[in-house]
Amino acid sequence: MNFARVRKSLIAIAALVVAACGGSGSSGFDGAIKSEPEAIEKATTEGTCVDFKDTTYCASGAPVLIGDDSAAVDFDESSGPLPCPQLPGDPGCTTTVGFEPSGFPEAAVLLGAWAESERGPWTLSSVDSTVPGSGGEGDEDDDVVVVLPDAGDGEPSPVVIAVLVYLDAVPDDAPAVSLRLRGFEPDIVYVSSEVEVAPSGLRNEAER
Amino acid sequence: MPAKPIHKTNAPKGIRDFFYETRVLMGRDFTVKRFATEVLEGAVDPVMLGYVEKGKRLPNEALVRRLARVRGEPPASLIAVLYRDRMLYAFGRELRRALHEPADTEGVVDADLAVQVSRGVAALPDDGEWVTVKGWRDEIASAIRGKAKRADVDRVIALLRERGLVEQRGMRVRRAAKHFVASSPNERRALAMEFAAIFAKSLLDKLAVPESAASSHVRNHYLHIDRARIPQFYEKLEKSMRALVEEFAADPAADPKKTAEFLNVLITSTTV
Repeated sequence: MNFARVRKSLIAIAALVVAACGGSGSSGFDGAIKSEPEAIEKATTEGTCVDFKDTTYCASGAPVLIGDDSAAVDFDESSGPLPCPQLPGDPGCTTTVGFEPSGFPEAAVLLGAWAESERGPWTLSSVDSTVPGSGGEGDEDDDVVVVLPDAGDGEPSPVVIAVLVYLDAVPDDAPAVSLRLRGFEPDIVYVSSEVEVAPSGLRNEAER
Repeated sequence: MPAKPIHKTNAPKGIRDFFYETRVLMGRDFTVKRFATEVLEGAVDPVMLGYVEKGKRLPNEALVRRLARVRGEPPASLIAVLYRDRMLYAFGRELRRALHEPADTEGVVDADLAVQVSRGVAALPDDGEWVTVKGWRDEIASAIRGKAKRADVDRVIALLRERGLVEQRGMRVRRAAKHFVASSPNERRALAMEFAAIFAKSLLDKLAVPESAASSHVRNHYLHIDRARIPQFYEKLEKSMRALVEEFAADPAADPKKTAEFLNVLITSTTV
């Protein structure tokens, strides 16, 4: 038996010894959150707020404590697919999802973002949807603008809407698109449940 | 016609499994009808025995005592299994009511999925060593039940892959994580049933089966604690328990093919 063969046999025996030990594990009803999609899923499923890596992820209407006061964002519930008309020359169809912020301090800034699922990637909504913080009087409905670039087939598409809350200021170098919401560096994120968007054909109607 | 004494396995068993196992080990000629009429001497209708073996009905105590005689063993252990199954049936029924779920789902077998998942996870080495998929499949199949179906093993493997608990490359597989979180309503109910089964068995072993009393550890620790520190307490408890479990699982003597038992350590803590 040469040296290489002896060495191979020893490795095989060592592997058998290792494999002989029993493994262990655990199971339960909750566990440590390991990713942003998990945090969003837990928040929206349980209707609450979940902390993950310096960002708080909340479901629509879930109160979050800011100092001694609580604040929240409520998304407008739609009973059916949202119409998403596409005008001639537009890069895609455009729709809006309404939300109502309440209790945030004056200095807070809210931005909108959307994605096809909680797994991202997330696209920042148009600048028009940037709204001032809603502290004090005059709370109003605001909109997150969603532009679906590929709306040609007319099939309803699911989207998830997020409202990013910055308690101080929006970072200057915030990206336009990010795989995860925390890439936009918000303090708090409110995420809607899945919304159906139905591209509709203003263009098609004009062509008829 | 007493059968040969049957070796104990560490696979989880309900009373249905003892009826099935005893009949099958007596030989392939013993159909349900023949076993009911000849071996159990007509103490049970063959149709009812079929239901008992499938877990759709629970036998009465007299029938279990008769089965113990057939197996040539004292009845206490089998009676304890029957009591545990009755408790689980009642627990499952009330749990479904509490969760507002339909009552037409099976009761006693609810815990199977959770048991199979724990066996699937424990069949992989703790240190992330790669093992063959075939070896892993065989180990799950032998651990979860003598009459495990291929579909049961496939279901467990698919679930563990989906949840990212295992990583597969070609024909090899290794563990990627250790903690399975029950997420769907069905999984949560299955896990609740498994936990209830572990608790019921621990208590019954301690109180009603003297020869098994030493294999169970049941103790209540109590203290006053600041409400705000409860999450910190649970975090430390989990870390301590994880370290203890991994220490003993790494023991070379913990070989499932030799003298090792599958030990469940159920932790429950609540304020009163």
